[in-house]
Amino acid sequence: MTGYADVVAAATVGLAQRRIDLDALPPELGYVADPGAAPAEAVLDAAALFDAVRRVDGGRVEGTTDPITAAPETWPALPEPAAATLWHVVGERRVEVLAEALESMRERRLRLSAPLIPAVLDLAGERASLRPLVGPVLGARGRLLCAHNPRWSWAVEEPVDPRDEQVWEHGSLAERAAWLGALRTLDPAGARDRLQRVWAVESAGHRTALLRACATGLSPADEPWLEELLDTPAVAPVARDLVARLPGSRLVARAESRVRASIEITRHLLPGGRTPELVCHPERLDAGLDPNTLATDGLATGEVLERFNNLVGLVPSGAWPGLLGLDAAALAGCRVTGLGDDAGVGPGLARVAVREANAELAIRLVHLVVGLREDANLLALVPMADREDLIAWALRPVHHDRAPALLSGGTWTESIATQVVRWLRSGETDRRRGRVLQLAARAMPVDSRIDFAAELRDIPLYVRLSPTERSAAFGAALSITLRRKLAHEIADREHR
Amino acid sequence: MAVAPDGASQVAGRKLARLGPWSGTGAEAPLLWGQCRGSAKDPYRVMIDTSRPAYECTCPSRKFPCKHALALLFLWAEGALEDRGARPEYADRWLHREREREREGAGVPAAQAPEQQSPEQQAAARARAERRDALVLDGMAELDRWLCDQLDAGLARAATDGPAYFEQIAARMIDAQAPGVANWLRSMTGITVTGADWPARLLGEFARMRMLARAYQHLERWDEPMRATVRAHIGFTVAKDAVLQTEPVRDTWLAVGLHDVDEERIVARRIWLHGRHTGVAALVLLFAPHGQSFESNLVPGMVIDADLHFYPGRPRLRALPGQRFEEWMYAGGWSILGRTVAEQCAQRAEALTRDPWLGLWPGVLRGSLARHADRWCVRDDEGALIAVRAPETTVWRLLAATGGASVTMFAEMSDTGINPLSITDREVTGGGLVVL
Repeated sequence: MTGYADVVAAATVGLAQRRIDLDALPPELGYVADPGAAPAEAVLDAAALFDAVRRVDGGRVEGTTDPITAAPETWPALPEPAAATLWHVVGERRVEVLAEALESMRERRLRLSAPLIPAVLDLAGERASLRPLVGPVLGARGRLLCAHNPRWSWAVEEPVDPRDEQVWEHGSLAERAAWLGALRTLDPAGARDRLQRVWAVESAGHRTALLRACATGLSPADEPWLEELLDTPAVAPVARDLVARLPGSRLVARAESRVRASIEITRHLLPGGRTPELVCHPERLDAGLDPNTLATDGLATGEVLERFNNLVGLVPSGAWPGLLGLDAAALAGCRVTGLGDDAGVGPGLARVAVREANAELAIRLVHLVVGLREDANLLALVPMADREDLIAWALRPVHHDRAPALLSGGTWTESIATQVVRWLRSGETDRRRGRVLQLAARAMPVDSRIDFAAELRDIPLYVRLSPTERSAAFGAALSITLRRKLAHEIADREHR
Repeated sequence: MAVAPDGASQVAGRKLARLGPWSGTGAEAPLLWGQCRGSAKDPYRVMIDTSRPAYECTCPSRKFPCKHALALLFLWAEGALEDRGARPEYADRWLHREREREREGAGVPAAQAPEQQSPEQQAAARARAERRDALVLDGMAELDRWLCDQLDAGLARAATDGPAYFEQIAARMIDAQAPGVANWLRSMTGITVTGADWPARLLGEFARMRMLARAYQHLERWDEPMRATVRAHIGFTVAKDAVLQTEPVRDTWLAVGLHDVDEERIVARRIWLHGRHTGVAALVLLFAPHGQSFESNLVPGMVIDADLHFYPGRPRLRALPGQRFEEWMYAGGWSILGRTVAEQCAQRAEALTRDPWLGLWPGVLRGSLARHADRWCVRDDEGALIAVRAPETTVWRLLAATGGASVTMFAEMSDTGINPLSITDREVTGGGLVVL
């Protein structure tokens, strides 16, 4: 029997090379040979019949399959007006607006409406910052889509299962670190044991990342091993940070002992009262300690100022009243002698504040130590309402460098927003104006009586802007308008 | 393109064959016209009588035909001049002069305006049409021979010869005034890199193309609708006025799909319509240069109460909107019967028997999206499956909109499956039309 494959094979190599028996075509094809036709004509006639059969089939598929079914939804869909606005936001790729809307939807237990799901998943696939926000608002329909599209599988990934050894054996570094962290919550000693078993064969980079995962479930039982790691320079900073979280650890005890030996408080009678002064004695810092211990504690090398800050950074904030009779916040405001001009222990205290997530200390530090006003980790602990005076300071011409850092990380208060608008209109701005306009897009408050979008649109009426700045100003104004609109439309469901 | 005076002119003509520098272009057999912006203050006026052929351009070039005339021919071959506007006065004047000259040469007396043609003028028009028929007939005979030669030599040459394999015969088809065939040949460029089964597909295309060539060579054997179908595939255009003079079909038409095809220099827009009372499907074709808007405001979801005039040929599909009585956005409430896979495939098969060269066919299916053997399919309510051949985004939008529920789908059907364009359902879409 001559099939289409035979006809194609002959036509591909050429009928001059390969003959074909058209008399053996399937009878149901209905081919009738034309005695006067040349071989090529006859083959084209036969191919036309095969082609007609193929075309009539039209892509029908033999077999059976079950329908796809989506689970019932448990959250209501985003209200239609908000969905329409969000379409616009996604189309314009206004990531900051979308992020805020997704958070707001999660808080109000609303899910993405069906048409939005593919577009939002595509955009979040490109912007890692959006990914954690998408999962909670996908709804059953969204999860169904993610189950069928490997590109979106990140949105429905289950939490790491510490019983799944395959992840530890064959996972990526991030997956293994997550697995280790999950196991630490269940079995801290077992997790430590697993890490110790592979420690020798892991690279320096992997050791650091995996050791960080041990912050979960940290306890005094970890101390002996962490103490050993203080001797390994590549991982010592991470190990030291972990041990410093254990208040009764030997490292902390050594640090407190060093503080007693090398730092003291004197009080001067000055107008307004007795002002404490921190007196540091560098010559006493390493007295009585062997060089190895100094090295493991991070006190052996570097300038004197750096060594003192390393020391201060190891002492928990709660230990200071017992050591020097001052709390950590008060310490931040002390004059310091013995470490050189304008020297202080702010950087060391900042490490403590970040480690302990101590907002009170952080607020005190950014107010007292100018050099810490660009420390993003520290500023993350300082609410916007506590930055108003700092931002007023930063918007003065000589301090513009600090403005972007202080304005980052949250929604501005109405007072801050007003200050920023005034600053932008003043003409006293500099090259940071563009960056501040970018921040304004997501940080300007939208629940204010003041229409800050209009305020930004009006800036070119007051000062000359470069084309890029003008574009940034109008872009920020549009983002604010969309945020405001979405905030009303999302909340509208609750008012009905 | 054999009429080009040299290779440089051909290249220059190709470069100019984009609608950007052109304005006021149009075609009404056998005349082509247009104005091309050049280095002079005023645009050059270009006119071509394809029946002789004769060329005229107001540019100072000494080459004949000039690059502007060649570019206009390219645009015509690509379908960019189809049914555009009224014939301008300058083109009429030129054509009149050309006819005068022709008559002087042939001793024929002077004629009046085309719409008031004398028997002699009508005879001359018939003669021009016969000349074109003869050109096309020669072209189809040559195409027939070329196709047979390819089989003798082996289709494998298509992979080694590159674009030239199709381009030479396509240029010959332009000269033979068969632009539809030329476009078809050019659309096959690159087929050899579209999957291992390309020889099977190419052989199918060649077999169908030969059927067309043979059908034109024996046009007298067919009835009038079939002749019109064959002529349409060859590339004969039908004047818009002539279409608008046909008996209209008035209905309430829902625009159910829109599909833009990005071609080399223009965007072709297909708008599929579904008649509420007649159940008839229709295709409105629009063309626009890249970056420019289309003349019509028809978009999916729009309903027009209007006359549609269908182009000749069968099955009836391509249409021109005539008089519009009313328009609004679809709000649901129609009883639209979605067919099963078997019913819809049978309907398409019937259409293929009427037009074996048919491309896309509109389908109205009732079914749901399903997976079978790692492929997306539509599963009708009886469990029959048809492959989905759609952009990935369409599949995800369909799954998002339906969640796997059964809906009525408006789709383009091809040889390999369906491309869903929009859906409607009382429950799933609230009765409205969701465009995918």
